[in-house]
Amino acid sequence: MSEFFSGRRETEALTDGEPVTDQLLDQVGEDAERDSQALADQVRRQEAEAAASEQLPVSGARPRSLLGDAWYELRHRPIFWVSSVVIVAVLAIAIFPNAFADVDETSSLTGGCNFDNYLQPPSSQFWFGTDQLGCDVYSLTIFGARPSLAVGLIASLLTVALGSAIGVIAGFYGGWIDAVLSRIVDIFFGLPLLLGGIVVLTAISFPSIWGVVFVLVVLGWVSAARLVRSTTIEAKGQDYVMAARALGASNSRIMWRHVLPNAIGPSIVVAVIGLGVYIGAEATFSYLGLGLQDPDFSWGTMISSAQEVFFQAPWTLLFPAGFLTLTILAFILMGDAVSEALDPKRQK
Amino acid sequence: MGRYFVRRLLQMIPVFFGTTFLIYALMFALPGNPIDTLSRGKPRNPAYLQYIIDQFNLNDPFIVQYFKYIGGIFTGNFGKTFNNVSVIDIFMQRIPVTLQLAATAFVIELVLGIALGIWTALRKGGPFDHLSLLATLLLIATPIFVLGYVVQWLFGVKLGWLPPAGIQAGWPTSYILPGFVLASASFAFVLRLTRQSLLEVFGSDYVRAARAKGLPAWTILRKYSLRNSLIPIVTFLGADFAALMGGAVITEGIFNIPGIGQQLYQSIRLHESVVVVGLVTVLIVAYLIMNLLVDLLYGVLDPRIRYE
Repeated sequence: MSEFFSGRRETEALTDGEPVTDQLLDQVGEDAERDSQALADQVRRQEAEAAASEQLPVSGARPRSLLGDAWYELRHRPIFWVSSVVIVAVLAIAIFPNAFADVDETSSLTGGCNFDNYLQPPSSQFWFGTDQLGCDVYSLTIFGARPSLAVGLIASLLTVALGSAIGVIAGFYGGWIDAVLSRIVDIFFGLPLLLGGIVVLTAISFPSIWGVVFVLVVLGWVSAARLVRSTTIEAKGQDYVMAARALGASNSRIMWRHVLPNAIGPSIVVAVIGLGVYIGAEATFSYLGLGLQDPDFSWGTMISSAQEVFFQAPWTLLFPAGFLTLTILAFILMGDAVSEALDPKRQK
Repeated sequence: MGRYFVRRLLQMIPVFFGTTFLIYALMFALPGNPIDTLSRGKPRNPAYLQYIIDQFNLNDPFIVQYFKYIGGIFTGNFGKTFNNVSVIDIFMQRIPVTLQLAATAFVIELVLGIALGIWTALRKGGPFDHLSLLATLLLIATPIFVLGYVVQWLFGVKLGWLPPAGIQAGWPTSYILPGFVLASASFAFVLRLTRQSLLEVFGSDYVRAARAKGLPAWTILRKYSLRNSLIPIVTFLGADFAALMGGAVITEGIFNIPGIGQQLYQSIRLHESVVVVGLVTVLIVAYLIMNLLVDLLYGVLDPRIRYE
């Protein structure tokens, strides 16, 4: 899917930005190493001065950190608030669907669906109308939110975790480890998400959402890995890494405590955008009949079964499709806003 | 130039083997019984199971299966359907329609995307710029099948401007609606990419120098800015081939266009796993070749890459 490429491209701009100094320094501060404390304080002062002189004008005594700046930027963007409201609302629906609808309405086993109500248009009784089994489309849409969001959340978390781990190892060690890992990344890159997913989902059958999650993670981790690899290479050349090394910190300590927190920033943006992309991908696979299987349902499977009656009863398709599109849009807008706010180039 | 070509070709070999191995491993080396999954939705009679086993050589050790499959790719043997039609024949028969549709979409996204991208870059911050940024985000967020049904219903059925399905009206009439739907997301990306990379180039010193020399705006755009902005767009268009082929599965399904995509769409729904696996393999091989071609084109466009 082409969405992938944009996610990467928009965030690549971040990699030539400054490290997320504050995060690292908090990290260092938490370390109980007394030896490094003095040095860390010194580094903190220097970095803060450098940041203050380069970035926004200082307000008050304490200069804002990069994350503080990002938050400042975000707070002043209406798009951020609009997408937050949508995301919070959809999350509430996904976590507490029972507060919005009755689960019995979604199944014919519990008497919720009744053939007498075949394709009823929206009314005061059925807010979103009914489908060809006589089920209430509103209730289905509410209960379809959870699997859709669960796929997005789990897949993007795992993608970033796996991609970051491999990216940081490749970037940090360099040499033959990097060469081997980068070739593996190239190979995975040769498999497009939708086409690769179709083949794999034809041959595997995992229960519930796990087949789709598996495909998205296996085919999706490479973009996070490439991104983190390049930020790692940049981060490991910084002075604070040399300082830590001079103090005798081990490779793994430097890698996980010093380099990774600095290198992972851009992949947070990838994760946010990825959420939207993966929710769309789940819907696409489910639409093709390769995603969730009966009796599980999501917005994608609803759209899939609505297509046969779309011309007679457009509401069966338009309501789940509307929720789906709005959710994806909210995550993409959020990712967009976060990436612009985190981009230090904008602040000059 | 020659050395660059040879190096790229050699780099392609491990990627080709790796990617095909990956597909195969993901399909057959995972826990679970592939025979069960591949015959999902089909009658479990011994003849059908035997057919699945034969098609994928499932009685051989895994690595032998893989090499038989690779051998098949090189000899154009991508398996046979249950009716003894070879998958490659289906592919050859249906690819012209898909290429026609993909080419239509490609022209739409390229011409409209670059033209509107240039326009928004020149009018940065104007009302049209803001509108187009919002509209492109909306296009990116709308799944292609949602857009497909809405467009088909609105322009094909309700307004009746264009045929809602099939290819009876021939090119271009029948291909306009599906072409637009297929192009939609990529169009949005091309627009944003063109705008973004043009804005970057507009800020560069040599463009400022050209302005200072008093060159006409059109010359600056054409000779100084566009060629440098083209590189990220060419990269995108290479990856776009996969998006177009993936999108064709859905678009051709919705608009009833008898190409590869529709065949895949139907085969997925009918659980014709051999056809699905065979056709997608052909498409992925085609995608790898496309990527190679784009890499080569890249070398032609930007001499810096050739001598890296």
